[in-house]
Amino acid sequence: MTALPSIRHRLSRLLLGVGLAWALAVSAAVWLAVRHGVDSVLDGALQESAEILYGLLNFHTSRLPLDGAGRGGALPAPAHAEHLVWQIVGADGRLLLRSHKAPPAPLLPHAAAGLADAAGGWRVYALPYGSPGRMLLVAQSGRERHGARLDAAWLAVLAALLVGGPCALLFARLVRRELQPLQTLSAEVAGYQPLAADARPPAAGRAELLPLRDAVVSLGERLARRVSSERAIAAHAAHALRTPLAGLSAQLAVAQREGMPALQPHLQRAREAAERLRRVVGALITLFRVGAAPAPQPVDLAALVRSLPIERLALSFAGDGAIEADPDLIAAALLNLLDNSLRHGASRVQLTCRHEAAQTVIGIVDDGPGVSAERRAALRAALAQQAPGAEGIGLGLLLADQVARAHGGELALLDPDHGFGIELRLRRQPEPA
Amino acid sequence: MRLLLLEDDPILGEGLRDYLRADGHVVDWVTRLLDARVLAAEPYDAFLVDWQLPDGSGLDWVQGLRERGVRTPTLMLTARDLLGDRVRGLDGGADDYLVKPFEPEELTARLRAVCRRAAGSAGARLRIGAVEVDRTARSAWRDGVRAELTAREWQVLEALVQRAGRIVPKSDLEALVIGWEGEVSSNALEVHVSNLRRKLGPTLIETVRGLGYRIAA
Repeated sequence: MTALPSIRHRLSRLLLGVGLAWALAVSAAVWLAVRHGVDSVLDGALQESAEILYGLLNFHTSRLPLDGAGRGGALPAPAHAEHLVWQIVGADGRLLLRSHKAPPAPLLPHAAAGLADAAGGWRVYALPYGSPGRMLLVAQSGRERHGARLDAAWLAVLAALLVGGPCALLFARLVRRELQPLQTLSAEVAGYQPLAADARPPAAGRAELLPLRDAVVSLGERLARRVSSERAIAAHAAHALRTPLAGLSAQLAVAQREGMPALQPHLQRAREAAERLRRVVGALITLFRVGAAPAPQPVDLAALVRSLPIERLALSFAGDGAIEADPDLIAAALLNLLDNSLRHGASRVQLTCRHEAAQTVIGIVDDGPGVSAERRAALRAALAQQAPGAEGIGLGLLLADQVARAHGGELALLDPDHGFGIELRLRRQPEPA
Repeated sequence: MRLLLLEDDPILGEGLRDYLRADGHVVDWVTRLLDARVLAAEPYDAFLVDWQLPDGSGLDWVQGLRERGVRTPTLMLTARDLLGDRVRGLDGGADDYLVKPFEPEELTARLRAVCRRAAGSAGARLRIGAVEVDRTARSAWRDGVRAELTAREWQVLEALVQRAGRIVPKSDLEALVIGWEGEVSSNALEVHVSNLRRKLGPTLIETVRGLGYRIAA
C-alpha cells in the first residue's frame, strides 16, 4: 500500500519552509540594516577621531618632522594594535608623516576632503592640514570594518536562532495538538459499535470534524438498520422452520413405526436428515442471536457436556469445568463442533477445560481422520480473515467462531497427532472485587 | 394415558397424535384454545400445550388452570428457546418445557417423567403388592411373571396407577381410556377391569361401590 501524505508532516514542512524563508529574509534585511548602521557609526567615529587627531597634531605642527630627515617616516610608538591609522600627505602627493602601523605609501595621494574608499579596502577620512594641499588622512582597514559588521551579523543570527528554535518547537507542538482531535475521532470511530444497544456515537472535538463524524454516524446507522433488518428476517425465517421441522420428525417417527420393513432404512435416513436439518436450523438461530450481547453466568461445563444431545459419540471431559459464559451459546458451539466430528467419522471426543491468565480454553479433540496441514492452514486463514464464504468454513466452525468472539475470544485450530482438534478460547470474566 | 394435545400446526399436531396413539395413549388433539377450554373439564393425565396459538397464549391458559387449582401435568411445546422464555414457561405453571423441533421419543420420555412425578414416584417401576408395573416398558408382572395385557387393559391399569390411592370414578376411567372421540360400550370398562384382575390378581383393583375403582398406593 502506498503511504498517504501526512497532514502533520506536510504542515510541519510548510511551517519550517515558511519559517526558514522568513528567517532568511529577515536576516538579509538585518544584515543590510546592520551593515548600514555599522558603516555610519564607524564613519562617524573615523571622522571624530580624525578631527581630534587634527587638533592634537595641529597643536604640535612645528615639532613634527614633516621636512628633512624624518620626512615620510612614522612617529615612534610602543607596540600596540592600531584600529585607526593616519597619514599626512603633502600637496605633491608624497607621504610626509604616518602613524607606525599606517602603510608607507599614501593611501590617497590627492585626496579630497571628506570620506573616501582607498585601494586595499581602506576607508579614509581626509581633511586639509596646515599648508594648502597638505591633507591629514585618518583611515580604518577594511578587515577591521568587516569584523565589526560580522560581529553584528553573528549576534543578529544568534538572536534569530534563539527566538526561531523555540518557535519551531512550539509550532510543531501546536500542529500536533490541533491534529489530536482527528486521532481522537479515529479512535472513537474504531470503537463505535452501531449495532450495540448502548451505541455511543463518536465525538467530533472540532467544528471541522463534524461533517466527518456525522457521515460516519449516518453510515453506521444505515448499516445497523440493514443488519438488524436482515438478522430479524433470517431469525424469523429460521424460527418459523421450528414447528414444521418438529412436524416432520413426528410424521417420520409415525411412518417408521407403521411402515413396511423394506421402507425402514429409507425412513431411518430421512429421520437422520431431519435431525441434521434440526441442528442446522438451531445453529442458524443461534448464529443470528450471537449478534446480541451474550448473557454470561456460572456454568458447569462438565454437566453441560453431559446434557448435550449427541448420540453415537463417546465424550469424555477433563479439567476444571467451572466457567463463566452464556450456556446457550456455548452449548450451541459445542454441539456444532461435536456434530462436525461425528459427520467426519469420529467416534470419541476428548473435551478439556483449563484456565489461563486471561482466557478460559475449552479443547475439543476427536479421533477422526483429521485434516491435512494445507487444509488446516486454509481454515486458519479463513478464520483469521473472518471469511464466512471461504471454502471449508462450515456452519459449525463459523458458529463456534462467532460464539468465541461474542465472548471476547477466538477459535484456534490445534495440531494434534491424530484426529481434529480445536480450542474455543473465551475471555475470562474479571474476578469480583 | 389420556392426553390433551393443543397444537395449531396440522402436520405436527397430526404427527404427534398418531405417534402418541401408536404409543398406546389416548390423545385428544385440538388446535384452538376455545376447544381446549371445553375439554379441560374432562379427566386427563397430561396436557401438551403449544405456547402460541391462533386464539391466544397457551401459557396464559396454563396459568389460568393453575390458578383454578388444576394440577394436571403440563408440557409446553414451543419454538421459543431463550432462557427467559423457558423460565417464564416453567414459572407460569408448566411442568416441563420442550423446544421445537424435537424428536417424539424425547416428548414421550419427558411425558412419562412429568406423570411419574405427578403420581409421586421417582422411577419408572413401581410395586403394588405382588404386582410390578413398568410404565416405560408398558409392562406388568405378577409374582415375577409377565402378564400379557391388551392396549386397553394397559390404559386402564396405567390410569389407576397414575392415581394410586385415589378413587377413580367409572366415568373418568372411561374417559381416560376411551377419549373424547371414542365410542363407549356399556360394559367395556368392566370387561377390562375383570381381565386385569384375572391376569394380575383379584385384589389389585378394588371396586368402591357406587363411586368407582381404586388401586392401593
